[in-house]
Amino acid sequence: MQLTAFNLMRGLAAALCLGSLGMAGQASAQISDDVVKIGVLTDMSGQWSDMNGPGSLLAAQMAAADFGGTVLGKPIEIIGADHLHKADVGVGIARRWIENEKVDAISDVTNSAIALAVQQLTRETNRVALFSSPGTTDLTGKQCSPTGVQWVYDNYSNAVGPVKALIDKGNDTFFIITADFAFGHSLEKIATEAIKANGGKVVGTIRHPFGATDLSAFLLPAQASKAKVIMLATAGKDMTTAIKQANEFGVTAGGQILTAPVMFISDVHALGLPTAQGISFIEGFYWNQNDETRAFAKRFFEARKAMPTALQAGVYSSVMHYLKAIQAAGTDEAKAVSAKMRELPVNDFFAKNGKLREDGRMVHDMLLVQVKKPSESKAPWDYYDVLATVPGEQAFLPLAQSECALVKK
Amino acid sequence: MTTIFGIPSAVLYGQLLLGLINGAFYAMLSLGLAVIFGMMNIVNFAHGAQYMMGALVAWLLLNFLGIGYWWALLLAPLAVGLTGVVIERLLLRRLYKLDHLYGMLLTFGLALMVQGAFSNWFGSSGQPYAIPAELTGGRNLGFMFLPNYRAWVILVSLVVCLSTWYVIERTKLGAYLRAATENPMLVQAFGIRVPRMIMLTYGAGVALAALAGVLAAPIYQVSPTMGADLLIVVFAVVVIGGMGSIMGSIVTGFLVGLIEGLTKAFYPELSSTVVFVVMAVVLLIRPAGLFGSKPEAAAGHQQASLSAPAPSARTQTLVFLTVAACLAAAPLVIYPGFMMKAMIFALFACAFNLIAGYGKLVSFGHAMFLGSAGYVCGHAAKIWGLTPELAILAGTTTAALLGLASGWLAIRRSGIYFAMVTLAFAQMIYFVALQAPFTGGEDGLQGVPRGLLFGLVDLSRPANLYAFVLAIFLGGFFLIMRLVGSPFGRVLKAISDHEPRAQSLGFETSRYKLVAFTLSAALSGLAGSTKAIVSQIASLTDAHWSMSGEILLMTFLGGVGTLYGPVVGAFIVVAMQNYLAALGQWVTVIHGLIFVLCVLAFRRGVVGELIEFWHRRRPASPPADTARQTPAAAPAE
Repeated sequence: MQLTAFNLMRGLAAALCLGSLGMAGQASAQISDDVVKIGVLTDMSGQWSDMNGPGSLLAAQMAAADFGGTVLGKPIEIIGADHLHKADVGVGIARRWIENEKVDAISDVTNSAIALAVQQLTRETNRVALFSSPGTTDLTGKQCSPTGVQWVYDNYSNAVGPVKALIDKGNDTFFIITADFAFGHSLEKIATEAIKANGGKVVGTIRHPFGATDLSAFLLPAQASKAKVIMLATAGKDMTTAIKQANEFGVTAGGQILTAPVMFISDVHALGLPTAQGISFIEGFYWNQNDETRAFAKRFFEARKAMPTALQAGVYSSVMHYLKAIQAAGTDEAKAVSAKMRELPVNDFFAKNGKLREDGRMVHDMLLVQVKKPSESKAPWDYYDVLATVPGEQAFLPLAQSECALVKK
Repeated sequence: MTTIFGIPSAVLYGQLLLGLINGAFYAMLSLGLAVIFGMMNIVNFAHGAQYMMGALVAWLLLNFLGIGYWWALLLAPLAVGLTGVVIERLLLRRLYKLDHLYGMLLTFGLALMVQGAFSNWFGSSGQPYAIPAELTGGRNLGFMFLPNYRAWVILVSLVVCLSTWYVIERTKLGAYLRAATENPMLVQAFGIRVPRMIMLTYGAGVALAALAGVLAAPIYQVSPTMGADLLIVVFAVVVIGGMGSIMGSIVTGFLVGLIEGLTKAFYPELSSTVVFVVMAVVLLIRPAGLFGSKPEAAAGHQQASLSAPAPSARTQTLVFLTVAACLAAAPLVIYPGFMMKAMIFALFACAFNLIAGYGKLVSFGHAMFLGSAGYVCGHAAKIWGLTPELAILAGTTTAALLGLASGWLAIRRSGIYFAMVTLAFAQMIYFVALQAPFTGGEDGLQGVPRGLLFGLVDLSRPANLYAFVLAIFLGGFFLIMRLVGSPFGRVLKAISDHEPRAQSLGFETSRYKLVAFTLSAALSGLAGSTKAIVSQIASLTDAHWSMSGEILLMTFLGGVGTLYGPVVGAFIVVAMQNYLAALGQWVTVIHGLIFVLCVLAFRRGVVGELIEFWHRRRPASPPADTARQTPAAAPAE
C-alpha cells in the first residue's frame, strides 16, 4: 500500500511541476493569459456589505466598461466574491484566483486581516492589489508592497483630520471609545498622538468588545467624564449603535461633540438624519460635490438604488487608474504596471492631482464634512455640508515618518 | 465623587441599571426559548432571526403602511408568530421524536435563510427606527440620565415575563401544556387537541421573540444580523437558568444583565465573555442549571442511526486505498488549493465525528482546538523559527492538552449540557485569542512561513505541499479508522449506546470518554496546525463559535457516525464556500436551504443514506425497516 501511495505521489509531483512550468512560459507575453482580469474581493453579505460589497463590484464593472472593455486589444474581465469576513476563505479565494483563474489584480478587500494577507500573497505572486476599503496603516507601513496601493483613506487620515479641526475650535478634551481589536487600537493610538501634538488632552478611554449589542454602557463613563469631544474609534454596526444610543442618552443634547473617524455615507443613511445630524468626520469622497461626481453618482444610483460610498467610488478610480497604467506601460506585468501607476497622476471625479507615493499610499484631498440637519437636506442622500478640504499632504502620514521599507530615506 | 473599588459610584449604579435593561431583553428572549424547549423539546436556533423579523416587520409597517410603534407592538408579534405556526406545522412537527440536534439544525438552517434573504432585500447596515414621540426624553436620576424608553422596556419586559409565567404555571391552560409535555398520548385521550396546542405554543414563543424585536427596534439598528450574535448569549442564559424552566430563564435573564453591567464597570473587555464563564461554572456545580430540576430531560433521544452491518476489513482497506488514490490524482483536474483546504476540514470533521458520532458526545466548542493549534503552530513557525513538522507538533500538543483539561470537566455532562460546557470553554479561548498580544487580534497571525519539512523538503513548492497535506490527512484518517474498529472503538460505542451497561461490564466509562475527547482534540489540532501552514495565516475565524457550528454541519451533512460521511460533508461545504462565493448573499440562503433539506430528507447524511440505500437494495440483507426502529443499531464503519 505504501508503495502505491509513493508512486502516486511521484506522478502527482511530476504533473504539478509540468503545470507550473507551463504557467511560467506564458508570463513573458505582453498581456498574460490574453485577458486582464480583476477580482473584487469583498463583503457581499456581512455587516459591511452596504459600504462596499455589491456596490464595489458594480463600480469595478463600470470602470471596465468606461475604459472600453479592452486594454491593449485584450478583454477586461471583472469577477467578484464574498470572503464572508473569514480570513482563510478570503485568502483561499485570492490564491485560487491568482493560481488558477488568471486574475491580475485584486480590488477592494474589506477586513484588515484579509487585506494584510492579500498584500503578502500579491507581493509573493507578483500581482497588483488595489485596496479601497481597508483602513489599516500597516498596508503602507510595515507591510507595504511595491505592487500594493491603498486608495481612499486610512486610519491616520481619518483620525488626525477631525482632531486638528476640533482642537482649532477650542474643543480640546477627548474621551475615546475604542473597539477592542487591532483596528480600534490603531485608531486610538493615532488619535491620541494627534491630540497631544495639537495641545489637546485625552481624559479617558474605554474599550468595548467587538459586536457588542449595547454600547450605552460605554457611553456612560464618556458622558460622566465631561470631555468636550467623544471619539468613537469603532466602525460599522457598533458605531451606528453608539451614535443612536448617544442620542437617546442625551449625550449630544448635553453639549458633548461626537466624532466618528471611520464613517461613510451608508452609515449616515442607515442612521437617518435626525440621529446623525451634527456629526463631523473625514470623508474621501462625497457624491454631491460637483457635476463630475454627480454624473458618476447618477449612473451608479440607477443600477444600485443607493449613492456610492467613498470606498465604492475608490474602487472605480483605482481600477480605472490601473487600466490606464497597463495601457501606458504596454504590459500587465505587475511591477511595471505598479511603477507606471506611481508615475501617472490621478485625475478623475474621485481625485484631482492625486499622487501615488512609493509606499503605495494614494495621496489626495480629503473632505471634512458635517451631517446636515433634516431641515437642510434638500434631496434624498443630500447629507453633508463640506466644512473644509484637507489638502492631501496634510491629510496623510508624511512620507518621512513612514515605516515602509520601500521609502528611500 | 464617592468610589466603590476604584469605580465612581455613579458609573457603577449606571452600569447596573443598564445591565438591568439588557437583562430585560435577555429575559424576554430566553423566556421564548425556554417555553419552546420546555413544551416541545426543540432547541429553537431561529430565535435570533425571529427577533430580527419582529424588528424588521415593525420597520416595514411604519415605512410601507404608515403603521406606528404602538400598533406594531401588537401586529409584528402576531405576524411573526403566524410564520412560526406555519413552520411548526410544515417542518418541526416531523422532528419531535428525534434527537435535539435535528431540531437545532433545521431551525439554524431556517435562520440562515431568513437572514440571507433579508440582507439581500434590505441591505446590511440596517434601517433607522425612531423612538415613539410619547416616550422620548428622559429623566436625570442623579447618577445617570435614564431615557424614558429604556424604563418602558423594563416595564414591558417584566409584565410580559411574569404573565407568561403565570399562564404556564398557574392556569388550567398551562396545566394542560405541562401535562402534554409529560405524556402527550394521555392528554390527548382526555380530548385535548395536543398537536394544535403545541403548534400554538411554538407560535407564542416566536411571538415573544418578535415582541422583543419590536421593543429593540428604536434602541438598536434594525438590521438583518441583529439577532445572530444575541442568540448564543440568550442560549447561555437559558442553560444557566435550567433548560425549560420558565422562572429560571426570567430571573437568569435579569441576573446575566446585571453581571454584564458589573463587568462593564470593572473590566469592560470581558463583558461579552463573562456570561460563558458563568455558564461553565454553573453547569459544573449545578448540572441542571440554577432553577432546573431534571438534567436528564436535556439528554438526547436517539439519532437516526444506520441499520447496515459493518463492512469487512478487506472492503475497508479497498475503499481507503481508492479514496487515497483519488485524492492523490485529484490535483490533475481540481484546483489543489481547494483540495488541500477540503482535506484539512475533512480531517477536522473526522476528528469531530470520533467524539460526536462514535462517542455520541456532540461538542459545540471544537473550534477552540482548531484555533489554538493554529495560533501556536503559526507562532512556533514564524517567531521561534521551528520547522513545519515541529510547529505542527507544538500546535497538536497544545490542542491535546487543551482537550484533556476541558474534556476532564466537560465529560461529566452529556447531551445539550455537554455541548454548552464545551461552548463555554471555546468562548473563553476565543477571548484569549482576541486579547493575547501574540495572536494579532482580528488581523490574525500573518505570514506564517511554510518552511522546510525536516529541514529538507521545501513546502513552498505546490507539489510538496500537496503531498504533505495528503499524507497528514490520510495518516489522521487511517488512525481514526483503526481506532473505530479497535476494541477501544467498540467500548466507546457501547458507552454511547448504554452507559450504565458498559459500566456494569467493568469499563471505566469516563476514562474512555476522556481519552476519546483528547484524541479528537489532538486530531483537530493537527488539522488546525496544518491549516496555519497551508493558508499561512491563523485568524480569529478558526476560534469563533460559528466554526464549531460549521464543523457540526459538515459532519451531519455527510453522515454522523459513518467513517466517510464527515469527509464528504467537508468537501461539500468547502466547495460551496469556494465556488458559490460569487453569488454573494444568496450563498447564505443556499446554505440554509441545504441544511433544512438535509434534516427533512437525508437525516443520516449523504453517506449514511447511501449506505442505507445500498443495503436495502441487496436482497440478502436483513429487513431494514424493522432494524431502523431500534435505536443505534451498529453504525457502519
